[in-house]
Amino acid sequence: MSTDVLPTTRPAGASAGKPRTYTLRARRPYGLWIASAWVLLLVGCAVAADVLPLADPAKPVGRARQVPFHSLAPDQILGTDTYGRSVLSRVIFGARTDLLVTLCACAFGAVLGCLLGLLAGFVKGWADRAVSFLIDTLLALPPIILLIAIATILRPSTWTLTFGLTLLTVPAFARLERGAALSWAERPFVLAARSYGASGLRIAFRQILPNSLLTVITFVPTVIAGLIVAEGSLGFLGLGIPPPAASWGTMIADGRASLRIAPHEVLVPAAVVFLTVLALNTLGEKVRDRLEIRSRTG
Amino acid sequence: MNRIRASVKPGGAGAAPAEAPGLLRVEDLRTVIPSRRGPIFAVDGVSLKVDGGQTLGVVGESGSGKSMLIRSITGLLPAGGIQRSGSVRYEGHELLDLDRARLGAFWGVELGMIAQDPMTSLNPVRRVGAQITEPLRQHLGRSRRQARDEALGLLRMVGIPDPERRLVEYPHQLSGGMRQRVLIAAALAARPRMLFADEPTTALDVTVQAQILNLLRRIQREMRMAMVLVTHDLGVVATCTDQVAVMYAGQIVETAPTAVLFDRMYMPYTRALFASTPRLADPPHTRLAVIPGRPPDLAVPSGGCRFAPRCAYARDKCQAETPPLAKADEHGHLYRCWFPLTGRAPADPGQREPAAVHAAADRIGATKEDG
Repeated sequence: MSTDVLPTTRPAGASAGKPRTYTLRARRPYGLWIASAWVLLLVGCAVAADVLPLADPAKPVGRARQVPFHSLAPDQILGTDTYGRSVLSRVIFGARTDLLVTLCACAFGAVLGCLLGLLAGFVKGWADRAVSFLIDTLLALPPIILLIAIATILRPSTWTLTFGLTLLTVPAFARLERGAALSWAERPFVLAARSYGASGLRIAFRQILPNSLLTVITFVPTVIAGLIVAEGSLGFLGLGIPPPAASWGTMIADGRASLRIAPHEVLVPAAVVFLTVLALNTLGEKVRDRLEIRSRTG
Repeated sequence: MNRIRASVKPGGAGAAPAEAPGLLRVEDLRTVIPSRRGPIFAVDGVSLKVDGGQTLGVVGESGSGKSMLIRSITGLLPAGGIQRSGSVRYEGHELLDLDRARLGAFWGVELGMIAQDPMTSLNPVRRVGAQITEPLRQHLGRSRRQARDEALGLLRMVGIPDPERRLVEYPHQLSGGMRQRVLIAAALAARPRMLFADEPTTALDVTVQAQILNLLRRIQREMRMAMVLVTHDLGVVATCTDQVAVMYAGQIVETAPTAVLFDRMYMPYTRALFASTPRLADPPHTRLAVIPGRPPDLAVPSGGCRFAPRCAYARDKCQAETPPLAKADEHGHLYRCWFPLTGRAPADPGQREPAAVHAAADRIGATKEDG
């Protein structure tokens, strides 16, 4: 399909040449494919970590601080750390911890935030004031200080970490859902549902929530990406998952001492974090684009 | 809600007392909407009565308070400090005194409402079936299966072909006419005794409009429902209603039984409204009569007749004193005008009301329902 566009504007000298043609073709979403592939690979490895032929991430597999690719044995392909443990194995088991913690935090945060936001946006009045105050209070605390405080008061553990990260996501989800609820509550179909005699709870959970979920779901990849970074920072400060369990943050923290002699100890998990966050953000953006087009036409 | 249902409908919908007089009685209803520019008097002292099985047509320009009147009667008002006064009695219940929860028991079961815009009045992320069965399951306590079967029956009643398939589809898979039928089915699901239809055909093609109106009339007869039909289509008024109320600036300016009103119009606004309707009998390229100006700003209460600034017959008295609703000689005909138009013939040439009525009636009647 080629179209000759605006032939009169072509310079006279160019008329002998091949006419310029434009091909009408949608750009292929390579970015989306690559991002999905990376996330799928990561999730797949994390889920199947026990089944895969991987070394125990807490036990040494060979000499310490071997650089990547010095041996092509699967245990040592990404090198070994200060204690001689397999970096590949630790990255994959770290992925399991990281993804589990961030997914749980995101899910808890989304449920809690959506309920609060729905309350604020649908009931309005006192509920809106109370929820908005809560959100503003949470947002006023610097997140890293909040997390440090939680990790110091409670013993560092997977659950402490999940709890802290949940607290980080609640205000974001609550705000999102509040705004969505406010706008969906004004739609004619909500009035129609009221005129059939639907109760407030029914309208909130059957009419408003399902519609606003679209907005919330598109936000999830971005939130998880943010949480992975937050987990990394906490692990780096030694407030994340307690050793010897692996997480990307603790790996970076452990490798920091030998940054000069064995930079791969830090660089490998850092690269994985980088790629994962990039992939999740790309995914979030593309999904948002697609769903927005759909919701506009639908 | 079962209590109310039981008290007003002994023996269920089939044995409902036929044509009880004064099913709905509205007295001096006033609705004030607060706004930055001061209170807006959206409904300003409206009184009306609808008997069981009867249809009241409410006509008027955009912004004349038709929709607000309906929402004030049913109590389905937007949030934001809207004040109502007066009296709305439905079957002896004073609706203005009921709180949100008690009023909610009337919606759907007693007072049904058909939404104006079929394109936006269905929830886009829920299946058609779920939206119809919800009132059934909530009000009538039907099981999932029963509700589905009744929904199928409802879809058949409103003339939707292949209802089994439609039940599991989403609103975006239906056309505008289909969606309006679904909305009607949903509004009728709990078998309300009184139906409010707020411009049910405005968003639809003319041919579909006629189908929907015929459908409404048929269902109304079958279910012995009373109906308040808001419209600005005078052809619809002529064919579908028993009584007409003409609204202007939040007030009823003329009301009469339909046949009487089409025979004699005293209020210049009513006549102007009728004159501005295009008719099939007009020769091609006839210039349409328009009412100059715009409806008044309801935030600025004015002394005198609300229509005076736009009225061709206005005199000094019209500017100064508000006319009351006066009784005409014919039974049940009220008008709000100091200098009512007289005579059956329209004041200016080119206006042919009876022809208009017949032409409009033909238009509605000619297109038969397809399903």
